[in-house]
Amino acid sequence: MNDLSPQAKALLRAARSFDDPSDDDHRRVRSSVLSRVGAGAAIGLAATMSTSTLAASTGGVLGGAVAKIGIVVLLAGGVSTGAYFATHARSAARPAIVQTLQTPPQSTVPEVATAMGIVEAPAAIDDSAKASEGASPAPRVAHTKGHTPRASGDIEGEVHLLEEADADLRRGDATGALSRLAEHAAKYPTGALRQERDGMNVVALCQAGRQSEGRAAAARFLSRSSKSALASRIRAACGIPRD
Amino acid sequence: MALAAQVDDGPGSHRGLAAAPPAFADVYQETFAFVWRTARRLGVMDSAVDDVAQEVFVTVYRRLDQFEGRCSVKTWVFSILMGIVRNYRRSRRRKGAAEPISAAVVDPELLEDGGHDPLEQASRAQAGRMVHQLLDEMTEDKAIVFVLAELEGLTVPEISELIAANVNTVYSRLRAGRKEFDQALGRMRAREAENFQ
Repeated sequence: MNDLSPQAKALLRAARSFDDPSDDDHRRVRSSVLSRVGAGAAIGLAATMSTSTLAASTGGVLGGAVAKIGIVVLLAGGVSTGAYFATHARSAARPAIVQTLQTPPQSTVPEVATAMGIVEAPAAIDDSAKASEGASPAPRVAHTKGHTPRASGDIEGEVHLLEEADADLRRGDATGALSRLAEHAAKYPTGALRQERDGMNVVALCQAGRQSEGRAAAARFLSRSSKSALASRIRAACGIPRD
Repeated sequence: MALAAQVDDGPGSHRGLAAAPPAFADVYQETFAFVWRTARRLGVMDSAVDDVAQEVFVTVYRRLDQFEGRCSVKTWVFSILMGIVRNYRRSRRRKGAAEPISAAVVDPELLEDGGHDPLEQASRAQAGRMVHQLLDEMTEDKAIVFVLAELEGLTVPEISELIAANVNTVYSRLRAGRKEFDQALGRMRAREAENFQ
């Protein structure tokens, strides 16, 4: 193959790093993308960002909306929600998160997203969850001291149980996970995170080797929630090919 | 998920049943610099590269659940990038108002980076502008292969996967691209020589 002239080679050598993006470029585009797709992606990006970077890029602007969405996304990705709480406990957005967590989610998320200026919030929630699947597990951190799940309107309590179930699953203790999920179902039969509970239950059944039961539950779950953040995780756990 | 492995592996390297899609964060982290550099090298002006990169990653984000692992993530992102770059170039041609590219113009900000020798920076910037100008004179197919081979350092089989063309086609375009680049450089030097006379 004919080669380049020495002059052309020298020019290319000198120019090679000219087009590299700077750290500022990286951060600026990331922030713009986040603001366009909605808060959910912030959680996905958080998996590879330092706490301070996340706070700088999303805190205050997206914090409230990130809170509710983040729980779902992190569970879907098999990531400890502890990391999420750890991240936000150190940011100024904490009061907004608490407020968001304690408000019924069905109506709150779009409202918060709209209030925060996040366009296409409802669609973004679904997509963001998918986008975050497969995120690397984050280190676990201690929960709030003496936290005890409460009976109603208690999203933190729901999260606590689902997170423990998720931790069981990641340890390979599917039976333990099923027990936590049953506890969740008993305490929060109509909880805000019941869809996540149902999805995790399917994963746990398949991981526990209860394949026929798990696959049947997976078929039911996917037929009504095919766009769930947990869909991919369920398919992977139960060996169901994509459509 | 070890995205790097997906990026590095060849076609069909992760065709497993129902594998979870990669995390958006990983895709962004692994491909942002490549997207940014390639957009600039394929004719996206400085003032538009932010918008193009944003558009690429918003599209990646929205289509992530459609990624089926039939190619590497890098290939998939590249195909999205190329669609957006082509739209940008079409739109630029329609408007007929391309920003001037001058090999002699050096962005003053590039000289303010205290971490490097200013002369080296100026030289790098000037070389970068010249390369942009030369690439702009090449036909798109050849410019793409040339950029991926000579600036990104990809091998012909890697490029072949990335642009979904067979290896012989890539070799042929690279050969022709090198010739075009050298000829364009020759013309540029001749013009400069005339200007000095």
